[in-house]
Amino acid sequence: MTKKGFFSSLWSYVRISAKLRFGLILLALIILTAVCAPLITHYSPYYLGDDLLVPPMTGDHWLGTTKMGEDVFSMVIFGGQTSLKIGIIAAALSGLIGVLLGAAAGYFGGKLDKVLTEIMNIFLMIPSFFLILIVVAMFGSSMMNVMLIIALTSWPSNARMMRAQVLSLKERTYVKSAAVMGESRARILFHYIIPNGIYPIIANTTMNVAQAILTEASLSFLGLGDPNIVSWGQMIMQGKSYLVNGWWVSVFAGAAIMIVVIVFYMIGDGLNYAMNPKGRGRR
Amino acid sequence: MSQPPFIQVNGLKKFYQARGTRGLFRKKKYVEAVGGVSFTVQRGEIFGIIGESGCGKSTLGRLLVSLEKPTEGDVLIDGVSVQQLIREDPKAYHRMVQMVFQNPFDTFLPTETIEQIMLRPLEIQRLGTSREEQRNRVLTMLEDGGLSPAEDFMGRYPHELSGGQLQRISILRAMVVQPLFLVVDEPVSMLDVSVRADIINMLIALSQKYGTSILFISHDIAVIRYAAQRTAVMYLGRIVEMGETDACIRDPKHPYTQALVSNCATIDIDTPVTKIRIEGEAPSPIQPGPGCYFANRCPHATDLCRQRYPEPQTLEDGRIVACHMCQKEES
Amino acid sequence: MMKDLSVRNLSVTYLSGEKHVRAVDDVSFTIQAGDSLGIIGESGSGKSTMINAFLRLLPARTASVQGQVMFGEDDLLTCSEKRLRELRWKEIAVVFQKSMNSLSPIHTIGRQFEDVYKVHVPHPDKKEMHDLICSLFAKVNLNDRIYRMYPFELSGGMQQRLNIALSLMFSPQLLIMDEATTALDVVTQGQILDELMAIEEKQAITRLMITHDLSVVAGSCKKILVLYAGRMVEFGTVRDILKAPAHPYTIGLIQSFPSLYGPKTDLKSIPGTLPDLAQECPGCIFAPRCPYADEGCKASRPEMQALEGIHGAACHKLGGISV
Repeated sequence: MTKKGFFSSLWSYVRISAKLRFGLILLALIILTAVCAPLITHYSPYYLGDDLLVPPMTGDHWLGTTKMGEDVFSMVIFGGQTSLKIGIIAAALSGLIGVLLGAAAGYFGGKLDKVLTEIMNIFLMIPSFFLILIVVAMFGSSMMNVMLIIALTSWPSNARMMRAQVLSLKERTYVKSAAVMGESRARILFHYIIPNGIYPIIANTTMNVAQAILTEASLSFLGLGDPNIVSWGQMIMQGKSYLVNGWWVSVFAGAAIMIVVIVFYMIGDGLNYAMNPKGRGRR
Repeated sequence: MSQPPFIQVNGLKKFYQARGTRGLFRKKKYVEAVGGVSFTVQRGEIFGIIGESGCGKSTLGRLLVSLEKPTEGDVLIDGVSVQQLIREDPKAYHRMVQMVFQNPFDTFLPTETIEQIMLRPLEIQRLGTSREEQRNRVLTMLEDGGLSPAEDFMGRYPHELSGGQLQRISILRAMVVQPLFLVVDEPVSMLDVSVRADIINMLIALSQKYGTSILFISHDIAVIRYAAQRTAVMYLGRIVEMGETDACIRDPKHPYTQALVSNCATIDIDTPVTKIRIEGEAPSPIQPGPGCYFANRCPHATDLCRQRYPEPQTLEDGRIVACHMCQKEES
Repeated sequence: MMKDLSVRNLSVTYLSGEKHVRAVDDVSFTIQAGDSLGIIGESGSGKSTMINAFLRLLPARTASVQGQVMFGEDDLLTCSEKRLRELRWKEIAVVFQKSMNSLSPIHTIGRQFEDVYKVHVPHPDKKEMHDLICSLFAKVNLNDRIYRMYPFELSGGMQQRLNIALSLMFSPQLLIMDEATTALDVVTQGQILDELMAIEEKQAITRLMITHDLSVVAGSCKKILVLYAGRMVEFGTVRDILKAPAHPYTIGLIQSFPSLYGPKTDLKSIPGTLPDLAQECPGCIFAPRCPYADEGCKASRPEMQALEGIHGAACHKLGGISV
């Protein structure tokens, strides 16, 4: 029943914000494209063809080819799989860690709160991209590692938000009345508090997806991405050396990153706007 | 009054550390939210607590349902120590003590139906042999509580109901486990005047039907007069006067009660009342002593009042008053 | 100059989408200068909307206001913005329930009172100003110490009292209090109401008290107007309303109100809930909840009928009801 409430409120948000609506439609299209990649293009992104560095709209290479003869269009689409997977999983993981630790800090308070808050502060202080570089350099750059390290450096913002939510929800009458009714602490936290305070974290997590995609792209661009799979960052890096005579390799990958990032920001922003009644009045 | 008291509150205290005095090297100061409160409530009795904002009446309510842990003192319910019971069998404790809150619009999860809300206490307590039986019990409860047809209400969400209906559900949910002790904190102050009567009548009827003792916290003296047999008046965390409600209102003994009652707005325009003026503000609850907390505003205060907090005195009519001046009159 | 307040056929309709909500529906009354009127109504009775309409505080886009609100020679609803500002500043003072945030958090209370004073008296005598401000504090039972304090050092109740004090600074002719004393403690409320009545005896202030609490009005006003669902149901002196209520709604309201000194009679709630004001209601608006209503009540809208003196009620069944 909580789920029903969750989806019906999500639906009401969709109705309020055009930005959110538009963003979700675009996201659905992007995901559909990425999932159906093999159906859309008949080239494998790893197939080295005979046409080397041909410009867009040459033959059936809509977006041209690379120096090695790979089809840019299929690389962009298959690269989307990588980027979306990393972005979504990393952000979701970061959201999960943030919600759990933030909720624990806010709900139980006391020493646990102090310790967790300090940990959050430390994570927020250290330059996370530098940390990511070090970890990838030490443990290798498999996709798994990249996802994990992005999640592990981005959770504190979620945790802080969740903590603030819990602190205010804790004082609500329905939480007090649940306690008097004899509900267990775990159930109060997971049934009464978290489902009612999670929306800002959902909005933040969507924005984090964009952030994670950018981070992954930056890593790949620096040559620290997973070398065995296509990704947008990697494409930009490849195309970097012949930007002058083969601009299409970098540009289309860059455009793809930009579009996806904008779409996720649109969703996040739309959610924020729809969930915050104060902001609505300003329009 | 020969039977032993059913609910016995013994010297309940709650201190909070004052803001800005946390830290290793600062001198700690405490806010005395509830400063040693003792009273008894009989089975099926409604006991009123009146006082102005900040007098600690709500904190007292939260202490009594263990939403907060008392700094000192204990409550005995039918001879059982609450502190001990919570440690040994929290579930049994929650079957004995329940609470109704001030704001009925915020008492329930917006995503749950009335059915889920009402069934929950039975689920927690594992009362009733089957779902069917639990459901029937809830239906009877709603029907008895004036929410009929009950079947219609079961599927509805809180936001579809009025404040009065929600407060009824809040009371019924508390009563569904048939508690021995019910604390109600300002149950009608957020409701429209024309529906308040129903809620108060319902509480009175339930206390008689199930023999539940009710602690009725309110700032509205007229409401307390209607509902409660006996009443305690609180000022700055302590009880200053306690006795039969009618006696406390008609012939208040403590100067604070006198001021409070005389200033209370009333619809009885034929009863002449001279309002007693008291000056100034209540002192800060951080170290208000050592004398009587009301001494700085009291028209009758003497040096003794400013030096020593008066011990509660039992007057002839059974009333308990904490005032030096009343003591003198009696002796 | 003494000014009467006369409200004629005031209606306020909120427009939201397709719905037209009649929040205030054809209210007319007059109070003489120096009089005090309590407007009683539950939530949704339109009492606050009415006050906001007087002061032209309703958003023009979503609320349409008809009728006249004559304050002396001026119609508050049609006079120029400039004139309205003048009136609001000098002759009409308003205190709302939640005026707590109206004080600036970074200036001392005394400074803020001085600023208001200086708007009227550009070159004030320091001593005179200080004395006047302190006398205002005394009226709401606050110490002179407040002068040097900041709003955050005061409780909500104290801030509310300061707002009442501020509204009295220039002896307004019309004082409107929208649940202004509701949040105050019993003792403070009682003392402030006494103080207001004492001031009125000296200065002939016209006071409008909007509240849901019958007892507050009973002790502090001379006349009462009962609103229900945007319509006026009864008007009269305090004694008329409390001792000889004529309208079934007023009767119900009094029966649901506990008495402090009188005999303990059983309290009765009024069954049912407020009607949906977006629906057209051709008959008596209280008919669905009224124990005496018949078909006639549902068919035609009752006019205000005069009873004894100024007492009047809008009910088809007047006289046929036994209390």
